Amino acid sequence: MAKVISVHSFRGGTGKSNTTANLAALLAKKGLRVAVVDTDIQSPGIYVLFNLQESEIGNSLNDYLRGKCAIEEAAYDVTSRLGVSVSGRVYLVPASAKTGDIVHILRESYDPGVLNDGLYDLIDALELDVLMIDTHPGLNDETLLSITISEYLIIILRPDQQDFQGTSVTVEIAKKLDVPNMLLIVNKTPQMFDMVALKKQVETTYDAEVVAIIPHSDEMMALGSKGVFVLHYPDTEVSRKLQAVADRLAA
Amino acid sequence: MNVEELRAKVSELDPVKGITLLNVLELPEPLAKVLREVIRLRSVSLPQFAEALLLDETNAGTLADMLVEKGFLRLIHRPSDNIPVYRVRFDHTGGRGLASAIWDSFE
Repeated sequence: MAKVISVHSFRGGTGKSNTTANLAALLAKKGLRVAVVDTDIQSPGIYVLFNLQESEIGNSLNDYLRGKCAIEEAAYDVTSRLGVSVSGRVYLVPASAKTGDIVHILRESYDPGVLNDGLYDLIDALELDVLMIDTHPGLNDETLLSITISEYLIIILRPDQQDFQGTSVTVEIAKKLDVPNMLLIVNKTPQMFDMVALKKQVETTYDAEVVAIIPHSDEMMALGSKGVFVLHYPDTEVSRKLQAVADRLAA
Repeated sequence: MNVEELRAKVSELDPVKGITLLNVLELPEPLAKVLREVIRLRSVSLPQFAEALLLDETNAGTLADMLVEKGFLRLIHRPSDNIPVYRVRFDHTGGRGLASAIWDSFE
């Protein structure tokens, strides 16, 4: 039975897609077959992290939702693009970054049941061990559906008052939707912060487990989404923290 | 909640032409739990539906049929084995209501 993992943040810019890509790569390093589905159809972008060019994307999640292809026909094997040999596989189902496709999906309605079916069909078709869903920030139909079907919900936040406020909404809804495992990651934490105290504060505030406090990283900023950080900088604090999260997810 | 209370709760639901997860959030337990289960499993047979609600199949079938009538579920025959199963009936996500000229300029 594949694990379904949603990665969500209430606000944009938290490092959600970066975290998703890094965890997918680390899980593939463990020999697992992983697929990442970009359900952020309003503002897609995770394909960049896997070195997939927009011009290389034929079928996308948008095409599947519009009934133009099977979902596995919108899946791209990006394993060889990671730049490092891994024993597992990473597939990506990108959302289209073409203006017309984004506008179309915003303009027209679609059946969320089709998305639900597609996610499970993908697990079967690609014989996945892990399905990761990169969600749109905030709460919408796709996000609520993703949270509902997930065994793990990872919520990314920064140590920022606006993030704290928004995260409380997500946590409350996730509890109502009865997600079996909810894990918080505090990302982009200034090095000067007391990490232990921050972890305790966040766990107390949300009554949920903080699985990692990840420090701000100049190297990650410098990489600028031109690759998967943990594979380029394996011997950093950020990579060690993400590895611990991946270990937890794979257990 | 016993079966009479569950029936009363379902009777009170406004008919819809499909649900969103927001509808599920507003449902009382154990109905919300059952609908979440149906979404996770994609479809459930009557015995599975009854088991999830801890009811016998007759009472569970009555409730499921009421939810079908209210627009929350739909009854189909599963293509793989032709067994009748219940699926959540999702409402389509709403398209945004901008003037078509504005949309057309992007397409």
